[in-house]
Parts: sequence; structure tokens; C-alpha cells
Amino acid sequence: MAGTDHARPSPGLLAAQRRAKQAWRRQQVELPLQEKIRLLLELQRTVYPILRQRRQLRPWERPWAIEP
Amino acid sequence: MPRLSDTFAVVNDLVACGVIEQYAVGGAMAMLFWAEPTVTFDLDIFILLPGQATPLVSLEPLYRVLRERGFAVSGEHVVIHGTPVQFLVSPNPLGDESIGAAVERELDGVPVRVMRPEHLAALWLQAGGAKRRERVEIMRQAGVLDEAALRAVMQRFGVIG
Repeated sequence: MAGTDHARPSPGLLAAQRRAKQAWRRQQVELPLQEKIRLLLELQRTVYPILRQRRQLRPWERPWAIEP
Repeated sequence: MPRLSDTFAVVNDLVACGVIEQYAVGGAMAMLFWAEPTVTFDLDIFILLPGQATPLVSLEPLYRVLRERGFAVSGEHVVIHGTPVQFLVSPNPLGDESIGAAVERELDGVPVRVMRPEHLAALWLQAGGAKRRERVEIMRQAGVLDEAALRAVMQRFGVIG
């Protein structure tokens, strides 16, 4: 598992991946606020059951009962 | 079902009524305004309270007003129209400036004061921690951080990044 002969990303591949991540992040900036809130509510619904299995949640740690 | 803008309308009214002097959205929700959504379950509202600078022991007067308006207080959070809000009194001069220099945005026609990215980043770097440093990096990658302005804020308040 801890071998040292695995394939590694080339500097070019790493740079391309960083550029792609940056481009994706810049696209997110441009999303309408309403869409960002919709995504946040979706994230909350996705993460909530996972967090609940891992630890005791505080009363306010739950998906918001709002619409985007 | 309520909308987030209903929550901000209540916060704006707290300013109009003089219960709080000024506010600005901070934390992950401020990042949503500038960059991308990251998961959070509460809304951090940094506030300046009216009156003299005396050591504050309780937010009870603020909570009382909100309770009277029918909002439930649960520990350090007040659920305002379905959104748990944590009111955080500005802890230091960097917090004060962050609130004062906040930018007004609009959500469903409701004005919302949001901390500038550079103040957000400075506060996160001041507080420290891996998650906060990661948020700074996300904003950097998103191209929303003015690096010169961030350096100036950090220098002004002695924040080490």
C-alpha cells in the first residue's frame, strides 16, 4: 500500500487540474444568489444524515426549513 | 415557507429599532455571497451594540426582543424564520472595521450587509484553523480576494497569515 512505484501526475497534469479547479470556482462566483442558496440547502440535506451518524448534533444543526 | 430574505428583514429591523447599531454577515454565509456555497447550518451575524464600551456579559436583551417577536432562542442561536442565527458581538477592532466596511447586497429586494472578502479572510486568518485557512484559499482561487487590500488589512491589525 505504501509503495513508491505508483504512477504520479506530471507537473503539467497537476497544473491543468489546478486550472480546472480555479475555473470551476470562478464559475461558482457568477451563480445567482438564489441558486447558491438552493445548493446550500441541498448540501445541508446531504450532509445532515452523515453528521447525525457520526456525532450528537446540536438542536440547530439541521437543514433549514426555508425555500431558496 | 419562509425565505432567507425574511431573516435579513428581521435583522435590518433590529438596526432600524436601535437594538443593534450595525451588523454584517460573516462566516460561511458571507462566503456564499462572494464565492461558492459551503455547508453550514447557521448564519453568523457580527454586530456592534449601541451604547458605551463596557464589558458585555449577556446578549439577553437582544434575545428578549427576538423572543417577544415570536422567535425561539436555543442556546446561542435564535431561529428566525427557519434559519438559526448566531449573533456575534464584534470581538476586536478588526471585527469593528469588518462590520463598518461591509458591502450592501440584495436578496429578494431586501438589503443585506456582507463583510468584504478581505475582512472575512483576515478574520479567518486571525482566528486560525485548517477549515478557515481553506476558506481563504477557496476565495483566492475564486478570484474574489484583492491581495493588496488583504495585506493592508492584515498589517493594520497585526494579523499573521
